[in-house]
Amino acid sequence: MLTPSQIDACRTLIAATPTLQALATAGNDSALAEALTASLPPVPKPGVFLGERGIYALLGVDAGETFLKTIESMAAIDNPYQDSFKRVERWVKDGTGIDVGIPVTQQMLISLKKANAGEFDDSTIDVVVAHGSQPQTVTTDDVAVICSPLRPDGKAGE
Amino acid sequence: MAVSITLRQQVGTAKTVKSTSGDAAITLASLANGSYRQSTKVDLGATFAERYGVYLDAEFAANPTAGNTVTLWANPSSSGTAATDNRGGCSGSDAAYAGYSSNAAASVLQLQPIGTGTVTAQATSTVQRIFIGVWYPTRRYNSFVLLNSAGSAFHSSDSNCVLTLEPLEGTGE
Repeated sequence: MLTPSQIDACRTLIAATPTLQALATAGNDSALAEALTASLPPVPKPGVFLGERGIYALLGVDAGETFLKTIESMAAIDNPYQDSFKRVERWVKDGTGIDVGIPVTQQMLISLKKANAGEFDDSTIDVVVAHGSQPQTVTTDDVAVICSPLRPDGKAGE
Repeated sequence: MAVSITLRQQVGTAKTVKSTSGDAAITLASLANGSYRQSTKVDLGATFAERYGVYLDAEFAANPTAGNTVTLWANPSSSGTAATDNRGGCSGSDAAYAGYSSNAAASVLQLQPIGTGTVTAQATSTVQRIFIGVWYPTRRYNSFVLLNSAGSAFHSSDSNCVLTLEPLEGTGE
């Protein structure tokens, strides 16, 4: 079940995309659901925790080591987020892990990318954020709701 | 002395509900996924079978989603007049079904469930012939409400879309 904002986003996307409009007009909700699922950006998937071992498994030894050392570095040097990084370092090392599937973590990682902080590189952060994300799955039931304003009498293509 | 009785049954004369030339009318052309349609009333006769096998022939505008469904309900009525004695906000006419206050999903629960049929991902021009269920009518007059949840609209031409009600009658042996 999509949220109202997701439904609005789908309606906007359909209105702006002739191929999607054609599917809506034809009543091909199955294909439209697949197309919308492929078009919408992924969203955070809460509950995806990464610790030291998880980071190694996800990024490989070299990039994983760089990632961990950057966290250690940010926790050790004076910077506006030092206290936060101290906590992150503790969570990563004590096995709790950090939840890379919540918006605040993803925003923090992305802001570090923009700031070119430490040794993080863009592709590493992209991999971690993608790991904590999930596609916005649109079902045919969702499409029925999305397209309902186009079908006041329950008929497609009119 | 033991008496042996064999109970057998036979299929009686079927009633059909379709856009034209049926015993009742329902226009399924272009019915969108997620939308309801209701029929006019079919007259089963003063005496009618205890059970009916209900079947739907359906042709879709595009590939439906395999495993999706169409669902059918009956509106039992004591009157053959469209607007008289209906349940769940039915009108007794061939029209979109909105229930009470445009709340079809809640209103349809006041009708008699007949069954749900599952569709497959067949291309247009394939008429899917679907068993919906065994229906025990309680009144002589009935209209029907169909919910299309197949993932595709019905075909824009509904000449191949037919709801068939087959009475299952005892032979009296």
